Amino acid sequence: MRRGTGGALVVALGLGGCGFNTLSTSETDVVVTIEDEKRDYSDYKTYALTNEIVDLCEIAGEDGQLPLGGSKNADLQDCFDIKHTYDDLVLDTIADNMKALGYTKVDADEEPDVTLLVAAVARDNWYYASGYWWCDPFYLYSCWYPPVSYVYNLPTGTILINMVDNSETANNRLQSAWFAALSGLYANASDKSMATRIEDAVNRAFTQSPYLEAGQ
Amino acid sequence: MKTNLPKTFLGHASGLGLAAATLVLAPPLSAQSARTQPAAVSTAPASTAPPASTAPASTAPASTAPANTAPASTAPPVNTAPSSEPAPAAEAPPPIVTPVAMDNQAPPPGGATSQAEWSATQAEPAHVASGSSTPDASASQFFIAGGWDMTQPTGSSAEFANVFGVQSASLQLRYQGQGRASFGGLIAWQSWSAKNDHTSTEGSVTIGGTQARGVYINPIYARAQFALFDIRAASSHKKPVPYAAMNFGGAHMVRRVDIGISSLTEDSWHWGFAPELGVEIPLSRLVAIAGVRFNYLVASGEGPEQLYFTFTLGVGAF
Repeated sequence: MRRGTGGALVVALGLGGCGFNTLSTSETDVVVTIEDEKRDYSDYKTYALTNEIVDLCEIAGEDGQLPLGGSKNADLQDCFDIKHTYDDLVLDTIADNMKALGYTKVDADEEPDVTLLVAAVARDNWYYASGYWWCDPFYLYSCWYPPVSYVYNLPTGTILINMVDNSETANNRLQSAWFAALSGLYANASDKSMATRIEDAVNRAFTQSPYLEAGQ
Repeated sequence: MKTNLPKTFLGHASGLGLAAATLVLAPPLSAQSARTQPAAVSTAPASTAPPASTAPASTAPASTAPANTAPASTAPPVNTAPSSEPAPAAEAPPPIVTPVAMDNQAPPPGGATSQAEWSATQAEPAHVASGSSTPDASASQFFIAGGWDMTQPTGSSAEFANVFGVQSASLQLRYQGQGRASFGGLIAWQSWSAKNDHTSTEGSVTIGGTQARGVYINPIYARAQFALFDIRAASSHKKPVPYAAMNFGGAHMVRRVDIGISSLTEDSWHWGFAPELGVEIPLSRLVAIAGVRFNYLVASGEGPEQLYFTFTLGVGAF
C-alpha cells in the first residue's frame, strides 16, 4: 500500500464520528411543566396573578437554604441578583395565555379559583459530565476512547410559575395545582433577545399544558 | 433532571447467483493453456541442449549458450568425463529453433466450438501481455481500504434522530487470495446527530425545548465478500466489479441527548449484521469503492435496536 494512501485513510478516520450538534445559548432554554393528573382543571374559571416576581435568593430560609425543595442544600453564594427588567413582560404574557385558555382575571380578594405565583432565581450551577466524547485533532484515537469527564459551571436563570388552588389552601400551606419552570442560561444569546426568549418560554409552558383550559 | 430517551431485516444478499454468472464469464481454462503452452516451447526447446559428446555440461560455460536457449544448468549432465580443453564456443552447434505457430494462427482449441469463440478468448491475453499499462496486482494477498461513510437512520433509529449523517468513516482489511471471494474485517466510526424541538411527556412531567440528539456506533465486523470478477486480474482494470458482502459482529453504541444544560448519555453493546452491495473499480493497485450497507443492530438489554443505511465512498490498495 502506498504511503500517501495510508495517510489519507488515517485522516479520513480521524474526521469521522466526531461531530455533534451543540446547543446555542437560546437553545438551552427548557420548559418543564408538571400536571396533577388527578385534578379536573375544567373546574377553574377565575384566577389572580401576582403583581411582582419574587427573587427566591432574597427570601432564603433561616437555615440559609432556598425555599424551594428542588434547591435544597443550595448555597446562597451561588446566587446572582435578579434584574426585574422583564417582570412586566413575564406577567403580561402569563395573563395573555390565561385569557386564551378561557380564564377570567380577578383581584386576589375576589376569591379566585386559582392564584398564579411567579418567582425567579439565577445562580451558578456546577455540573459533572462523565463519559463525554472528546475528539482531539492530535490524538485521533481519543475520538473513540477514552471518554473524558470534567466539571463545568453554567450560570442559569429560572422563572417559576406556581398555580395554587385557593380552595385547598389552608394554614399557610399552599396546594399547587400546576407548576412550570422556565430554565435557561443566564447569558445573553446572539440569535434571540432576552425578551423574546422569555416570551417564548412562557408561551411554551401554556402550549404544552392544554389540560389547563378553563371550564365554560 | 432526567429525560427518558425514546426506546423503541432485511433478506441478505447471496453470492451464489454471482458465482454462477462468473462461471460463465470466466475465460475457459483450456483456452488459457493453449495460449501459454506454445510460448513455453519456443523459449526452451529440448533440441537446444548441446550433444553430450561434444560439449559436456560440466565444462561448457553458460555464456556460450545462446540467449534463447536453455541455460547450461538445465542441460542434463550425461557425460561427466573430464576434458582438458573446454569446447570452444564457436564449435558449439547452432541452436535449432523449431518453428512455432503464433497464438493467433493456432487452430481453435478443443474447448472452443467456433471461430468467434476462439477470437473472443484471444482478446484477453493481449490485455495480460500489455503489462506496462496494468500493474500486476494478481499476486497480492491482502487488501486494505478506507471509506467515507454517510449514514441514514431508519425505523426506530430515525425516531430518535432522523438525519442524513456525513461524518462517518470505515476501514476494512481483506484476504484476497481466494480470487473472487475475500474474507476479512471491517471497523467503522459512525455517527449522526440532529437538533430539533421536542416536547416529551413522562407521567405528569412534560419537558419542552430544543434537544440535540446524537448516536455514535462503532461496529466491529467479520466480513465475507463475493465479487463478480477478481479485482486483482488485469482484465478487471478500470472496469466496475460488482460485489455482495455480508458483515457480522458486534457494535458499541453511545446515545446522547443534550437538553437545556444537561447532557445525558447511555452506552450499550449489540450484536449486528450488515448485508452490503456495491462496486469496486480497480485502478492499477488502487481500487475505488462505492457501496451501500444496511446495518441492523439487535436490541440488547442495555439499548434499543438500531437500523440504518451506510453509503460508502472509499479507496483501497493492494
